[in-house]
Amino acid sequence: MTPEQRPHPKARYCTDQRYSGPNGAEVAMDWWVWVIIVLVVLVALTTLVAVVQRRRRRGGVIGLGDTGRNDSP
Amino acid sequence: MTEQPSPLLLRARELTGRPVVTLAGELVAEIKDVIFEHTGGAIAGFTLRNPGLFSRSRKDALPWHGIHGLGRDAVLVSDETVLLRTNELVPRKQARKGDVLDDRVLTDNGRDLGRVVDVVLQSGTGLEVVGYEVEASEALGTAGRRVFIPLPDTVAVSGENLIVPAAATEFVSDDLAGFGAAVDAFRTRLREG
Repeated sequence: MTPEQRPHPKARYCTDQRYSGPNGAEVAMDWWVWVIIVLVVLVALTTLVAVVQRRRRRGGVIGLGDTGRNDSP
Repeated sequence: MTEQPSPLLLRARELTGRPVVTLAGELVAEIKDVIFEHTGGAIAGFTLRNPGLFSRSRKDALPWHGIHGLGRDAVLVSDETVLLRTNELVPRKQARKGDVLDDRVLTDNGRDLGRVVDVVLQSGTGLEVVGYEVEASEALGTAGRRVFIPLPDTVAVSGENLIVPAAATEFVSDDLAGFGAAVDAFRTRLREG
């Protein structure tokens, strides 16, 4: 192997090490991480819908007549 | 209208979700809001929602005179023709701003008695508002506890606050069972001046 054919030391380092992201986290995530993310999003959305629906369905006690309340929209 | 043998006290929020059923047995809707008159405290009717968890509010309402019977488990109506459009019973602005739940209760001399968590109704010849259930403030000496405050015949409102006579603090009750007597005593006291 001539000196020209020999790989640059830095290039050999790159092939030896798997690439990591900026914080050291691997870019390719395992399948179960995606499952957890999807489940968390589903739980968050379900909770949000339940809270909104509960507020919409909540009953009130409404007084009729001159309330003295500010009637501006 | 169903005859009641003796006055019965109940919380307004107990009515929320109660099914409205025709005499033919058809489920029409569920009760959503309780509507009352500030003068006299009489119940004017109810707004409605469709049954089911993801249902919406309905655009029609049930006036008090359309009720055939108000039972523990259901409200009976002769048929759906007794329903009115909601804005005929309660103008939209009042429906948005007239809810007394979570309002503060102040005496006419400016003491904050607490926050309304429910409204107490009394059944007799009709159904009328006779008091508030409040989460008491420091002023009542039972901060954080729920107590019942009697109301005079006319419910006064100022801004976001509900005003009661200062004498009401002398008739505060801890339990609903004894609250009817407290209301009678309070109203007698007001009449006698």
